[in-house]
Amino acid sequence: MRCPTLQQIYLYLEKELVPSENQKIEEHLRSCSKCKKALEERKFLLKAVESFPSWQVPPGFTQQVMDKIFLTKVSFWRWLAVSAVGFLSFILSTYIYLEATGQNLSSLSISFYHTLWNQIKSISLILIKLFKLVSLSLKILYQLGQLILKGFLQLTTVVSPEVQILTITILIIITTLIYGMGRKFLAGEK
Amino acid sequence: MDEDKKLVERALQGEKEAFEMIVRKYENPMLNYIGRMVRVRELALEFTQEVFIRSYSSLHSYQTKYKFSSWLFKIASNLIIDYWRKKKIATFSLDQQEIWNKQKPSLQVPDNEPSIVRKFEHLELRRKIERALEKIPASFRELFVWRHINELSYKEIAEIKDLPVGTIKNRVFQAKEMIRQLLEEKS
Repeated sequence: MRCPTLQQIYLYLEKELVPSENQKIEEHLRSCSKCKKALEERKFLLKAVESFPSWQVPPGFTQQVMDKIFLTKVSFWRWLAVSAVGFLSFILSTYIYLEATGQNLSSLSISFYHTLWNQIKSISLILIKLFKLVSLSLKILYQLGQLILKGFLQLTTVVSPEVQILTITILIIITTLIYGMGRKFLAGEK
Repeated sequence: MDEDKKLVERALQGEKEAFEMIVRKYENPMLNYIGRMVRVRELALEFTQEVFIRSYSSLHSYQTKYKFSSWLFKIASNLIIDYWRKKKIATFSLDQQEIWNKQKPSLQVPDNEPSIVRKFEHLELRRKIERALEKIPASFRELFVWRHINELSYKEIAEIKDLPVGTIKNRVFQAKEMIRQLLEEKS
């Protein structure tokens, strides 16, 4: 027999060949040292692969998977059940209220809508007032900013450039120091 | 009918425990395959979980003429390919395979072949193979892992990839010789 291919050698090692092919290779290996060496080499390689460490899932993984699968399945029914219970309790409490107060359904709905309308009206008034307050504060802040800018511009005409640079440098140093101290204080608190 | 198919049937009838048995049976083999493909444990665990979620939601589409494990591994393989596509990782690209095709492993037993594998001590060899495995194209790595780590038959792998058994045998052979070549380069 001619030398088998490397692929055949692998298949022989994996016991993937039919018995007649197996026998032929075995016979050949007895007389061919080159093929025997090639086979031993690949046998060693496959042995090393067989002993690869196995990856294992962490404890509780199965349960985690099952929860994930069935939580999504069940959630719809749970949602439906909760809605049904909520609706029924609403009907029941309305009925009990009507029975207790002796009112009928139409007068109850009119008074309900009346209350609701009043609530909407009062909330709208609060919102309008809030809006006015915010716009007024913005206006004040804008004017204050303009005033500071004007003051600063006038100051530059009076004070020499050297003094201006010195003042700005001192201001930067003071700001950095305050920032640094603030950070240190906060870190200390943690 | 084999055990898996019975479990699938029971799971389809709403028996939660039957699907739990499937998860228990395949969680580690699946993690071993996905882990060796994506190489990051956290991601591999996330994908393993996703495979079971997807398989449960499409359990009704499983055809009993195929092995259940093949169907499950096919879902996992598609999931990994989708992930790589989205991340634009060219792990399955043909360019990579072309580089290897240029130096296709020889089919014949070469004369004076150096003994590489036996040079290393067992543990060191194992580590070197693991590293070499990471370097071969993912399409070959996938087949190698299925065959030699998950111990699937060539027929099962052919079923997963929708390819002839002969093609799979040839590619797994190439994968092994690629690994050997890499060990040769390093030594």
